[in-house]
Amino acid sequence: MAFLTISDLSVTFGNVRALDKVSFSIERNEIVTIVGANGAGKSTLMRAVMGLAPVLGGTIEFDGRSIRRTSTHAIARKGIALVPEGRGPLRQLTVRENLRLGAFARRWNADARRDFDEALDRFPALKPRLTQMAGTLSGGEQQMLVIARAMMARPKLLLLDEPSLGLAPLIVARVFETIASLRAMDVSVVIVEQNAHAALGMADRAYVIENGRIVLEGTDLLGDPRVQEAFLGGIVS
Amino acid sequence: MVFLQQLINGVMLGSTYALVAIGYSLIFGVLRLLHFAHGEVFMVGAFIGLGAVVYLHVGPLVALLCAAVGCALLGVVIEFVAFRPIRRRNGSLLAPIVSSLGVGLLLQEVATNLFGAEQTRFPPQFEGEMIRLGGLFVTSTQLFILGTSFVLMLAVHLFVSYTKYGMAMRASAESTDVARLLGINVDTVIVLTFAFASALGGVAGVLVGFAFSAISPFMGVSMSIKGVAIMLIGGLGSIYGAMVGGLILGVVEVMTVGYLASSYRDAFSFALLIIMLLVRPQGLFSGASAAKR
Repeated sequence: MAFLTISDLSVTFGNVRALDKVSFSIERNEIVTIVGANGAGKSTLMRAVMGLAPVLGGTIEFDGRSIRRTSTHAIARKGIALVPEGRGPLRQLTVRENLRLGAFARRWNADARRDFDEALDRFPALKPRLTQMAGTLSGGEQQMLVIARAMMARPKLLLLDEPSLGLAPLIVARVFETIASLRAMDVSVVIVEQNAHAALGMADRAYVIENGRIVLEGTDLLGDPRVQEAFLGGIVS
Repeated sequence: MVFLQQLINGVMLGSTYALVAIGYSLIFGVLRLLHFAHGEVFMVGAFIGLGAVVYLHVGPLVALLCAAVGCALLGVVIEFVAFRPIRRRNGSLLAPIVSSLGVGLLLQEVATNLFGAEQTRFPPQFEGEMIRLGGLFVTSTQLFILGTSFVLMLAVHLFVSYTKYGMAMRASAESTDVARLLGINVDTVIVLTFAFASALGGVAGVLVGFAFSAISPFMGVSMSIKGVAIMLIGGLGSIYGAMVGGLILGVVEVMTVGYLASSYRDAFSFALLIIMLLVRPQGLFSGASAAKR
């Protein structure tokens, strides 16, 4: 049994079927990438795991237990953290408060304080900005902040929804470096991306989602001609 | 000297307005809801305070505490009965407003039946002595009201700024989804917000009882309107705006009565509100989140 197992998951918004019998799984300490075009259902899949999308049918099991009917905050407390697409930080709270709330479900003890210091070592750009409103940070800094905030919860599974969205290429590279460095931290990572190249490069396994359906799954999708054509502009890396 | 004396009277009145308006702002911040029954919670607080003083023979501080606890419970009951069921069923945006108005009317009629529609005397809690400050005279009642209000405003500031649940409240005000993703139980935060806001409203009710020595089942009606008006002056959902706005409204009212005409008290206050909204439509402290700095 995988760490997170989703079987035949369907989600509808009104009459629109956003996900159609999607099955997906991730093991402990694995990095999995899901690529797909805009509107393919990537974000919906992430939100459905967190209990933020209207699930019509199917099962979601985390660590051997169904979480399909569990409320969002309880799912977060079980150890799944979602870094939502765009606008992730609480803009009217300071950087420090954002990080502090990342550890909301934990006791604010020596352990949590050490994680706080480590987060600042990992993201040194945040250090001089601790007392600033998160909304005043640059796009790249905001993305760093939400990843750092998610890690403050010590999640066992981290879901990253389009971490490169709207960021300059240089910043994207740094974000992905950071994600790669999470491998040492005993956490499984799901990366959902349109920007497939970097995300596929670091993944152990990948899925391709199209119109709410998983159409492809494999360990070397970067070399797959269909993926190259659809998401990588035909360029062979 | 008369002017300074009036200023003190205005600040005293305004500080009770501020306590009510902070409640409006907290609830609006987290729920985007105009809680019209909040004025009636304020009124119930006054009667709880009166009951505590008359039947339990307690001192003013204990009376405040009784009103705070009683109103906190009332606020939580209102949330569970009037608002949560509507949220759960994704009711219309307008449904909670109607439900809030309904709760307000209910509380008003229950109070009218229990205590009569006339004003009820609130026995004085302090000796009539005047305290001399330079050329000014302040009664011990005024000092008590000012002291209590400012201590509570400071407490609100400290709670919202520095405690874990204060931060959770601000997080929920900005985005309930993000708050949930961080493991915050937003329903708990909402219950806490109602309890906190209603306790402040209840305390304000007792303070107004102390100040005017009379309370009535209808005292919440104008307070509801003023509370909403202050929230608009201060900036929607801003607790600091509510504090400043409350003080401004109190001072304007007292000055109007003192220098213009007492029968135009509310007319001038609301003319001021309209002018302020023309000049600064977003309010003094703009921003839609609870406790924006």
